[in-house]
Amino acid sequence: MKNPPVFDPSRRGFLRSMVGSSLLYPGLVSELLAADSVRPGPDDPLSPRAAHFPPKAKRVIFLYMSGGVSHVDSWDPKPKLFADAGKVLSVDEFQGRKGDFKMFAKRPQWEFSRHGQCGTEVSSLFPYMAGCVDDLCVIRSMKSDHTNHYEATLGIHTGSFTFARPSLGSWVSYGLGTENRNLPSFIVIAPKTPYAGGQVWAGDFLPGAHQGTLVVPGAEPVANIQRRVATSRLQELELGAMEKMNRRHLESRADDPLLSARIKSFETAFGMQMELPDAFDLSRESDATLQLYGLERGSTKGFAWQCLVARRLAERGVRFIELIDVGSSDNWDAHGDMLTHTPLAKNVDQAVAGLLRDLKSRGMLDDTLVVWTTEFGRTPFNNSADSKGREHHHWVYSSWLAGAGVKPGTVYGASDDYGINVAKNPVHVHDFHATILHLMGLDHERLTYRHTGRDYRLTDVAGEVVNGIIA
Amino acid sequence: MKSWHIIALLLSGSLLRSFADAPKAPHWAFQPVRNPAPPTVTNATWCQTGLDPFILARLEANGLSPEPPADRRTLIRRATFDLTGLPPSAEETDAFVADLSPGAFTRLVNRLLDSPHYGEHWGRHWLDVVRYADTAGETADYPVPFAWRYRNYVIDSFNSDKPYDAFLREQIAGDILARSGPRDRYAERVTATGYLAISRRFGFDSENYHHLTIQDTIDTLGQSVLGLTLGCARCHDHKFDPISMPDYYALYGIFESTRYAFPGSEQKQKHRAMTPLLPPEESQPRWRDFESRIATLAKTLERQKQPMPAAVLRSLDDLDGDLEMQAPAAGGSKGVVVAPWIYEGQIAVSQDAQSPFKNLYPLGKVGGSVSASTNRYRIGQALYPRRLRGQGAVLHVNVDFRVATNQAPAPGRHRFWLGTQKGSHALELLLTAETISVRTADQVETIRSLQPNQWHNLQLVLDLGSNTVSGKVGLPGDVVRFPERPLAANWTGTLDYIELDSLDENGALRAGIAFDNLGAQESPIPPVSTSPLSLADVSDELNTGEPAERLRQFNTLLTEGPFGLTYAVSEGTPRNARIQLRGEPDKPGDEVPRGFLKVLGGGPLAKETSGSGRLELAEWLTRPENPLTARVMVNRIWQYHFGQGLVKTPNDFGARGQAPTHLELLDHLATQFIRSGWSIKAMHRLILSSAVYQQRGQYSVSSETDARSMVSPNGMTTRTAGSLNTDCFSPFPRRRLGAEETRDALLLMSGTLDSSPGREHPFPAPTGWGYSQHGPFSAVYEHNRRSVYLMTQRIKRHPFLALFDGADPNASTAERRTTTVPTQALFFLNDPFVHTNAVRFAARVLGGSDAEPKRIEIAYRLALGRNPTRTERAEAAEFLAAYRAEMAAAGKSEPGKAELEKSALAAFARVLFGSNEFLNVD
Repeated sequence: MKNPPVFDPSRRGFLRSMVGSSLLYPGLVSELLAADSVRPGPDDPLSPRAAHFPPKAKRVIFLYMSGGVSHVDSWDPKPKLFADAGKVLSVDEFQGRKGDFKMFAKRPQWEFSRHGQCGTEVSSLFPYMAGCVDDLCVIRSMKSDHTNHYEATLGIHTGSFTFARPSLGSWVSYGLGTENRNLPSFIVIAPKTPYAGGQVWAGDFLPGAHQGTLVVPGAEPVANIQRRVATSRLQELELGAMEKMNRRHLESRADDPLLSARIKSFETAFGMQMELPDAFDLSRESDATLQLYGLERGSTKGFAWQCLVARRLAERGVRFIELIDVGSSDNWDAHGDMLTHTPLAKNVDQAVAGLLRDLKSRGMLDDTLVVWTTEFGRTPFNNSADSKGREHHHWVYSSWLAGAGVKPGTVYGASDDYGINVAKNPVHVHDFHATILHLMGLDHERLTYRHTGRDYRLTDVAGEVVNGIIA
Repeated sequence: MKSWHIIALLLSGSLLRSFADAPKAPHWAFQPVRNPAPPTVTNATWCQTGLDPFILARLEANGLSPEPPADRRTLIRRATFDLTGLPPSAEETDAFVADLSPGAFTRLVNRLLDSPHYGEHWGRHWLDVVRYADTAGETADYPVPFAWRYRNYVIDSFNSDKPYDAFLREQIAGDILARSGPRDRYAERVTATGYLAISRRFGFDSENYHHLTIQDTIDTLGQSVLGLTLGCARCHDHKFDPISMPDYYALYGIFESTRYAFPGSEQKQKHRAMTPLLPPEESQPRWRDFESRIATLAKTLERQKQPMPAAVLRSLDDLDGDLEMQAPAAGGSKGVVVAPWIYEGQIAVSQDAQSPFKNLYPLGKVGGSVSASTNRYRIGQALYPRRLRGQGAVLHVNVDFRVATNQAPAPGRHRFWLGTQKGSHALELLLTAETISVRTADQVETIRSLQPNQWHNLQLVLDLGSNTVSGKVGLPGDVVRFPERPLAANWTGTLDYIELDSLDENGALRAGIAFDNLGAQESPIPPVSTSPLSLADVSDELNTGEPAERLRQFNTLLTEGPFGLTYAVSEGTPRNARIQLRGEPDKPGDEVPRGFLKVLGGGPLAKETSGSGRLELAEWLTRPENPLTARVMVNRIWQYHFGQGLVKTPNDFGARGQAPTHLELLDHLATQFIRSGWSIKAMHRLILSSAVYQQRGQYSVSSETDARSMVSPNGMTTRTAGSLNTDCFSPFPRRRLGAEETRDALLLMSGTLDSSPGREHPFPAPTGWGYSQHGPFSAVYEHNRRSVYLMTQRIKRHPFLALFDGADPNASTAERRTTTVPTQALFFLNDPFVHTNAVRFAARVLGGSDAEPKRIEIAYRLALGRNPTRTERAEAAEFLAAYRAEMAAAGKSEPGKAELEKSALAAFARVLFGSNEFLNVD
């Protein structure tokens, strides 16, 4: 039999007195802070920065549905598509190929009805979100440039449909910095890798601090966030010793700001080690809150966990939080059968509605922008009359915005009778981005970064702020 | 403004004329390199090399003095990291400190330059610039198993101090240079063109996005060699630099005339057109042998009803393979025929047009066809290398065709011909549904009758020694030979093109045609057959064993290929590009002759140029009088030594880039560089022996330093304090270790760095590939070799390299941006890699001595290359004691245990690893 661990208070006490505070990290840090030798430098790329004009929103929660959600089955009611199901429609392009194609109108799988005070029509695919329409501005005239997942996914995230470019979240981080230096400014929670991989949250040519930090639900959501040594005090000893070495090194090097920035990064990391796991710790959330999101106590599964953690990160000052529901397979890409939308909708519907209600009840919806989108819609037609699925459709699709600065309970833009093309007020991906930046107090034409001799921006050479969306 | 200039503007009708035509003083970088006399300086004795006066003069002009020389300990650490990316050992440091004899530093530099680690470090710099990666970057990020050969070529080239001009010529045109010998450099030169082949791929049907790949090639070529951003001119004349759209498409044509190896894509899940490391005369016979083994084994497996691998490697330069690559698949191919084919009219590629004959390409799936309604068409491709009359080559040609039955009489004919791309025919064969005939200057002679709607096989043997052609045409069991006859008398004597096209375009009805199995090679072609080769040819080793064993053999054979292959380019079909209006390939504008940038004295290719023009481009770029090539490279060398270039925008020497801080020094170095025979190592010797380089490091910063001057408009911190000092290169700027240096140093500390060169990555066998955007290729391969050998992916970055600001695998990285983020600190605190190496480090220290004071000394010497001070000794002992006590107090170990000692030392190792002293070079 093994001996039980011996707890020896006198020995421990001795250790403390012998070591004093100087060997242990927090003590050392506070000592040094008191001496004001750590300059909070302007060299920190994540220092909060002033917006171009007063922002409506302080932070963004970006909800991204991977694979292409069918607009005509969810947010965009098309009575004619119900009425004319099976009718032959002519289109001049199908899945990226030009030509004259005869297609069969396909009946939506879910019925639509009016909801809320505003009466916005939503299908029965999203019964919970339908209950929140009074807070949403549904955009029924989204447009993308590409019919393929990879390119369209890259496009909705970076504004570029071909080359790797900084992600929307990275641009926002670059433009505004962060409020809580103990946490990354841009966090992506994704259980699986989406199309186009890490490019979706990459900072690309922006300084590395602006790249998205990936959180994968599970035991260690962020790489190396878990202390690997047995006790916190052991780690504090390590940090204390390193701090001393680094201080002495710095003294003879005229307080080189880059050296001190690195010293400071260990303090931040130490804080992050405490604060980030705390953000993921849902144990003190009430039953009522868990129920609101549809989350079982103790579970880290599904979009409900992602949404509740997003709220906690938002509370802690994270600037841009993206949630990706599923990965590059088993997703909304319903070529074979529209009914595959059902479990995916179930995964997100109550969770998103819960998030909106939770934010609202805490007063956070006033300064949080919530975005719900996907890379494209799905064809209102197919090439055979009995086809069960729908193909990719980037000519028009639906998204919504809610929260800070958004006109609640409204619908913006429209598709044509069958949901094939934009009929009114197109919102291209670039316009969508320009509008999100605008709500964050950033002018998309002024938020630029000089790279290879050119000033790059999120919206390339396009994009217009959609004023009709803004309250 | 001069009056004639105003007139020119008025004539142009626009004030927005492009810079390309506007007469104005040329930008500094476009003016010739001069060899300026060194400036006069007061403190002349300070100078140790010809470059020092240029720096000193600026310092003196600003009323500054250079820093005193660095101490020897700092100097050896600086030089060793700078040249090899690794720290010096404590013993090396002590020896250097003790060696006060003259020439000690020169000997050190020579030793470092002779180390194979030099090429690994400096090769990595070049790999940054050319955005090297081990995957293709299209939607499924296909692995490129042969890319490593180019990576190692770069490393080897730096190690052998290959002259930079030759290095560039090989990378741009090595495949062409290789043909002219010597034989033992063939593989190396072909491999060099990996520089072009590693261009990024796009889309899930990447052949339809080849224009973006060419754009990526031109962007990288412009930035890496010329320091110019050419990309802007793809859509419009460059707004800032005198580079026009015609300039851009003149280059574009050169690369459109080049055949890139195909890495595989979601739509075609196999790679092809990999380049043999053997010359054609050696590779072709082995390829034939390989093909027959594959075909036979495939047949055996088919009989045994074994599942066949989805991805079959077909890599040799075969025409039909190009057709196979056009195969439309569900959901996205634009159904266009792409390079190297040149075509006009509606050419369809479909399974319906697959020939039943299996003597040449038994595994084909598609063929080409032209419908009866197409009045005018042509589809052709260059033959490479070109053959000349009288040079004795024998060329074997194969094509299968089927001319359809027509309801109405269809007198219109199809023509299959060989000759020159410019239209001189060596042989013309005419096809209708009923007959095949040969046309000469004055007559048409029928060879045999054909059966409408039946596949026929045509084989030709062109003998360029005797200047004759013979052949046979028919179907299995019914082959008619046609006797030897002279090639056309009016043919110019060059054979570089093969084409199928329409005759009688005056409205005569022509029957539709299908064609397949095009081949042209120097080895004989087997007789027409509907079964792949005879089983009699099968060697015993392949014909034995269980089906599963055969399948394994088959996979091995397919994976290994017939001989070494590499990811490279070869000559395609020479063509001039059309301008793509607004950069859109489906909006063609005027054709532009292939050629070089006018602002640098370029013009169209000479009329007599054969081939793509790449060789001419390579020679043009490396002319000593090219004002950019040498300047750009010496600036990079300077930058990697001093952290900042003389031009601070190393990839942009154009109008939007920054002017040099020391133009005369830049020109002095460029002149020396060219005079030294473009020797990069000579540049290192010059720079390292300079007084500028040997200055004391950045210890003292004046208290007036304005914090804002340390931050660029982008919020990026510059590396040194004080902008004035930075531009004066005094004192020597401190730098943080790069990602690779950090990882390598940690491995070196733990004694586990494997210093052997890396080779290929353990990618899954190509026969099992089925990557798609839904399930892209994704892997991280760990090893203990130097980090330059880590597998780097394009759409998903290597986690360590991404965290520590490694190079961008998608675009040229001219300088690493050092960032400081807490997730890096978390890595040092908690990453298993750090912990593992710390434990190994602790074991080394424990093995070194039984006494703790000695252990502390060993740890310091290993990690920092120096002995600890008295204070440091005391602090380390205090730390170890406290750590042990805390471990014991926490019940994690019992006092006095060896484990406890090791844990404490490992913790101390992490302290050293995470320290700024370990991770910075003064």
